[in-house]
Amino acid sequence: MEKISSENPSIEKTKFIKSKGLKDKPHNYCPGCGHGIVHRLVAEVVEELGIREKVIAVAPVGCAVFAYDYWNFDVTEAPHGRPPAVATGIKRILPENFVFTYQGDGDLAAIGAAELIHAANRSENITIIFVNNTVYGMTSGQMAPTTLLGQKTLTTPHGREVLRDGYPIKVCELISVLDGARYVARGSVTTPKNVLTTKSYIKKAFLNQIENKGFSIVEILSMCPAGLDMEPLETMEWVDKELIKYFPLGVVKDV
Amino acid sequence: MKKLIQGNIALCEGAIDGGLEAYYAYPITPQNEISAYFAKVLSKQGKVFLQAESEVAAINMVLGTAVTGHRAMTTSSSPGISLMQEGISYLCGCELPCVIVNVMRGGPGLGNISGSQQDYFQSTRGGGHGDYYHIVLAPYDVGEIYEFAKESFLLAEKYRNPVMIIFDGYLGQTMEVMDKDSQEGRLNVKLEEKIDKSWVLDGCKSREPRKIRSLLMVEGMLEELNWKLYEKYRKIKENEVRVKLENVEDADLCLVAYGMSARVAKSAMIKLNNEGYKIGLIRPITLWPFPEKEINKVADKVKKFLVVEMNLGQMVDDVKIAVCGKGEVSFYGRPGGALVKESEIIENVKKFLSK
Amino acid sequence: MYNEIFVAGSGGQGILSLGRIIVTAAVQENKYATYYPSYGAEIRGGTANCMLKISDTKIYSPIIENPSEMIIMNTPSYLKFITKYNPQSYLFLNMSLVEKNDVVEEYILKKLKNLNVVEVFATEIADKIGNILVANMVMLGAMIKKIGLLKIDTIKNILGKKYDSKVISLNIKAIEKGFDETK
Repeated sequence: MEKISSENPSIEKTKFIKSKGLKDKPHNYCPGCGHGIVHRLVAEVVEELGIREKVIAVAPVGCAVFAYDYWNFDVTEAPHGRPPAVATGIKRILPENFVFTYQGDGDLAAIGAAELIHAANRSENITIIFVNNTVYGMTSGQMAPTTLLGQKTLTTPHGREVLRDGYPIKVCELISVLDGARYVARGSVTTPKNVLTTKSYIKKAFLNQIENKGFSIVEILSMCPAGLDMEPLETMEWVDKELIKYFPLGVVKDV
Repeated sequence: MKKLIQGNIALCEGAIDGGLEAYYAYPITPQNEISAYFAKVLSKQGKVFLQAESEVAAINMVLGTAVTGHRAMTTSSSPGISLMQEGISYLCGCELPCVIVNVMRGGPGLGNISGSQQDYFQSTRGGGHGDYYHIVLAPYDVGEIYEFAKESFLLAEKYRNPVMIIFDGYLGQTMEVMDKDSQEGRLNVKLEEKIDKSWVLDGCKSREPRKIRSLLMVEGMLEELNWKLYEKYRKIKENEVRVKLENVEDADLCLVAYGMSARVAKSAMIKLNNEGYKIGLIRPITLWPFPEKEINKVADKVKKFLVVEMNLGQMVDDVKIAVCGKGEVSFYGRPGGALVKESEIIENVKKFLSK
Repeated sequence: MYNEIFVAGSGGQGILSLGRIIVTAAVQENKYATYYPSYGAEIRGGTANCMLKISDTKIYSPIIENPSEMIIMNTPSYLKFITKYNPQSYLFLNMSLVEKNDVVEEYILKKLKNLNVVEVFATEIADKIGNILVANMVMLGAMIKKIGLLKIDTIKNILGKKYDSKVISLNIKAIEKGFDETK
């Protein structure tokens, strides 16, 4: 965004412009999906920190698999769940570059749990942007490791049950007990206020890497109206009312 | 300079002399000497050594370093290589050069820690999903292990494709003399043009951003990638086949074997020829691309082929395809980490010849 | 000249280091040599054996089917590998730890003639000179006495590069004792 002066000096107008971190390409995400907002936040922070030409990002398998079509910097794909390992391989050989992964709840907390935990435990100097919308969007709405108890999905048609499916994983709390985790925070993108707070988390996490502080992760509660079978506004309300009860917002760890 | 060295350590020295920059691996017998050596040496040289949390992570760390255009390698043994197959498929799909080493042990399952050649199919058929191949080099002594490891990065970069080096645990453990100055065992990789690095990810400074991916959803794009890979594989088949032929000119029977089996077969061949038999040896050095044309040519004159492998018969299929009905193909092998015996090869040759 | 030496005992008896010393010495004396070790999953106390080939010409298969010399350091190895013994081979037995089995002996005697069995009380000799761990070197001394093969000076030279002087002198003493006490 940039401030521009108008003819009437008492009114300041704000012009909404595209971040240099984004390509001039419309997103294919579903209406009401949170990925577009998070992509933009990441792009803005990249631009503001002046690191666009140093970034090598790792895209996940899941809806954000196409992130490399939207971001205006170098991006590689990774097998499902493996972005932290791929990012490790990049950062170790090019420590001067800026490396982050962008992962969904299935990619990060189910199939990629081992890579996540060990990258955090080694305090790999990378940043993880973790988008948690409690459901597998791309494969049409199955249970995720973060699906709430009782929540209906394609594979929990009568609601998630503890006896069968166990509990939703609190990734931030889990990771925060590892000594290698330096910065762990959870935000959401449901309201302008939450969006701005989340952006500040991302910025702090990115700065951590620039300052060689080690592993940082920002979890972002997001909306998947298609996967959750809700209207976009309804999804936002659900995230605000239900999801944050189980996944409280805020900085979990900052050392 | 001559020196006594173990196969696994010759691999390390070859990789370092070949410009290895990053090594990632998970412990598994019988190749633990490799990571122990690299752990000591690489960090002193300012290079990357990292013990990964699994083979799955190790191959993806290799992928991460490979996208930056730097030279990465992982080593493992059979069960670990199975875990890496997904990553290898991605490396091939994304056309990323790297080196993967399989010091094969007995299988299936956890198997044992003895040497075997039971991963021939897995290596030469593209062990993961999708239509892909990677070059497979099969050294048969420590000198070749050194030379192949040294040149494998260049070969990988020439084609933007992973290269796999496979040998059995016996050869990995064997110590013998290696001569770095000798010309013997060199691959002599030829470069027609400069290695292309226009694809690497190193930050989009003064250039357009790049992406590396194998996901191609737009109709026709994935087919296009596959045809492009097909053309690359055709070129590799045309240019990179390596095979050693011995005494094949007037042989009554040719032994066909690679790696440690080829050494035992060679000992058997020498004994048989001393007894007055006319026995040749065909030793494929590249298992993919397979020396199909070369074997087919030998089959113009030689009508009997005995394939010797430390498995239940895998390469024998490729030999049959190569011989293409021009001669008879028979098999002798031992699976499950057992070593083929010189005496049994001799016995099988004599039986086959008298048929 | 073509020697195929098979060394067997338990982990911790210095089986593999004995093998490495022999091939290293052979290579220093400009011979071709291969060394192939085999051991159990245990780091200590399991079985250990190695196959050494030493030749004037290039060696292809490093695996031994018919050993020309066998060094056996304990009873389990004796029972397990005695079937590899053939009339041409020398059998060096560490009598301190090998308990001969009558059934096996009878079988071998019936089957084979011209037995070349060299009995060495290696562990006891090693104990007397200061450390049972050098029993492997006592066996080496015995083997050199019987078949020549390597110069003791070459071995001294190799040990000198690997260990400190106290260890070297103990090892050399062990080789010399093995040499002297073997007829």
